[in-house]
Amino acid sequence: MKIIGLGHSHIVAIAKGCYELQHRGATIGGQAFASSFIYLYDPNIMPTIVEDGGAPRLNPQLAEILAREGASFGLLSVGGNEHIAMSVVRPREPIDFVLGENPDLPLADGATVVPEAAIRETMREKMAPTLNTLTALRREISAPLFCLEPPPPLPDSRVLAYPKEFFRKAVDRGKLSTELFRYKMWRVQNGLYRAVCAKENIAFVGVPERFVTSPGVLAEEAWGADASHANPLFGEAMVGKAIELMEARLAASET
Amino acid sequence: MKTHPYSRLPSYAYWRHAVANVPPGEVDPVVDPPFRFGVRDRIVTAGSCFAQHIGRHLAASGCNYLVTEAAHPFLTEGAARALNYGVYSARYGNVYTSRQLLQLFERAYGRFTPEENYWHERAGVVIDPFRPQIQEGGFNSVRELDLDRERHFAAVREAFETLDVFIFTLGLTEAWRSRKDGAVFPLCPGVAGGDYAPAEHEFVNFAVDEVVADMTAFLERLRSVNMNARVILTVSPVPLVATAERRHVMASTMCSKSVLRVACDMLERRFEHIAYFPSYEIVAGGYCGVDYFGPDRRSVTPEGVAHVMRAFDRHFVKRGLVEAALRRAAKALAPVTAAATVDAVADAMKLMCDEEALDLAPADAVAPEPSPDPDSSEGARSE
Repeated sequence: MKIIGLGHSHIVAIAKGCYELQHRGATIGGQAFASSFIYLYDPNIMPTIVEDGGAPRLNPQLAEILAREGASFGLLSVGGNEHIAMSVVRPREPIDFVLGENPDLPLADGATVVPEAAIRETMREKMAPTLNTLTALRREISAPLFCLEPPPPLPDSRVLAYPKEFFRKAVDRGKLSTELFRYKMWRVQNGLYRAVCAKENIAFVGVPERFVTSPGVLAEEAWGADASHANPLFGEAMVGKAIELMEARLAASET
Repeated sequence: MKTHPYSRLPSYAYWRHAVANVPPGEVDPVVDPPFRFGVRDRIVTAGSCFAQHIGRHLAASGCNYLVTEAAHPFLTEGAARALNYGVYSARYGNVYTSRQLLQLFERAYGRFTPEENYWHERAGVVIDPFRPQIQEGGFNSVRELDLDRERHFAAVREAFETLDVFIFTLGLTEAWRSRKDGAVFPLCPGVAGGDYAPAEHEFVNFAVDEVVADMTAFLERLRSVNMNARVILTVSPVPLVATAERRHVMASTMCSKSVLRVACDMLERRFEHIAYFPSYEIVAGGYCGVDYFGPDRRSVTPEGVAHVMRAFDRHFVKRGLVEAALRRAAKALAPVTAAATVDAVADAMKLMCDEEALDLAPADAVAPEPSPDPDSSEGARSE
């Protein structure tokens, strides 16, 4: 049994979590497993999507690697920071929206309230490379694929502790969006992931509830080393959930 | 030689001079409009789908096309387009009938709240019965729709109160309305939301007197909030998609357009601040020597739109060196995009993400180069 993991920055925590599971002797359906991870910003396999006679397809070198690996299933952590890139800086004209999945969440005082659809369409544009990559990977890999939900946004304290990640310099609180707004943006982003996954027959693996604390930020136990990433504990939990789903599939196929 | 009322008329009064001897595509049926507008005059448009051509042309030609419900700078241009921001001055969508226009005014000023104010579709989808196609998929909740309506109505009020020129394209006389309170819907319930129920909805085909009455009521209300408003009326040349009358759609189209054209004539004669612009005549009159309909015999060709807008510009837009210079300057001003901040953050994060990856490689990452035995390679370790 072999896992192949692909993605951008969040794949690091996923990979480390997976290695930790393997180190502790975790199994899939009672069998030990191997894993390998591919960082999609590796210059040797960039760009991830290439044009082939006008049709987008996966970089041939990456496709070759995937074919050679012949994994039993794949873990995808493609993109995932678009929501925070879009939302961390408070716009000059404050903005907010009603989250359809939880329409009673409070709205920021004085903010211009726009339809969620407007946010979603904006994010869809920003996420186009990510979503196209998921589609291209699905077309290249016949094995089951699991798309791992990116971690929720980190709290203000972490963003202010690592401002250079977003602002290139120190930042005052006035420039920072609210945690609740960032949480809503994360949910919108995940809605787009879910939609593509449903269309492409990719299983979507949600973040365990214990990692999301009020008002919708990453729980401290899962904080990574900066202001937007999670740690290997988070990765371990996500890989564990994916393995459970894979085991359920295996069990279902045996009956 | 005898004289009579026809002996000394200007050339535009004679078919031979004004139509028959004019090269195809150059017929200009506009004579002497009561006013022109300048580059500083704020213009608001509404109406049936043909009105979109007018708004787009005005915006592109450096006129002061007033948009009071603009997309938030946070949104990308594509998202703004998808949600119909900027298609009209406010996000009211197509306003096909005179009653719909009057109703828009009344609703915006809180004088009328239709009983059938929401169409609940499946879970998490609420359609605005009065803007059923303003955004694909509708609104995510009653709360979202209410908030958006509040902003929309404020934008409508601002448009009516601050415009200098209002251009309204009358499109239809046929409509569907609520039997409860007479609220008219832009589309029949059931077409793009809602459920059609004969007990609740009825068909109406407005007659000339009704169109004139609705428009008169609207014009009075507009004047009540904006004394200086001037109005240009035009009739859309686009035929009906379908008719609910028991007759051929072509007959219904001709009847509707005729009613609207007569109503415009009556209004133009009654009100000094009203001008009529003959879009219908140019495109659908059949006299210009050019077929301005596309293969579906409904869509107006770009050439037809261009002809209409040439005539419009020639007669309604103020001339002069200063005006021309100001329009050129307005055209040259690129729209301000607000994506810069977001993109800067994304760039900074990409740098950070690359740094993050350094944490993975080289010990943990699979090199993209082939390895002799993948199962024993560094990347596939820790079985």
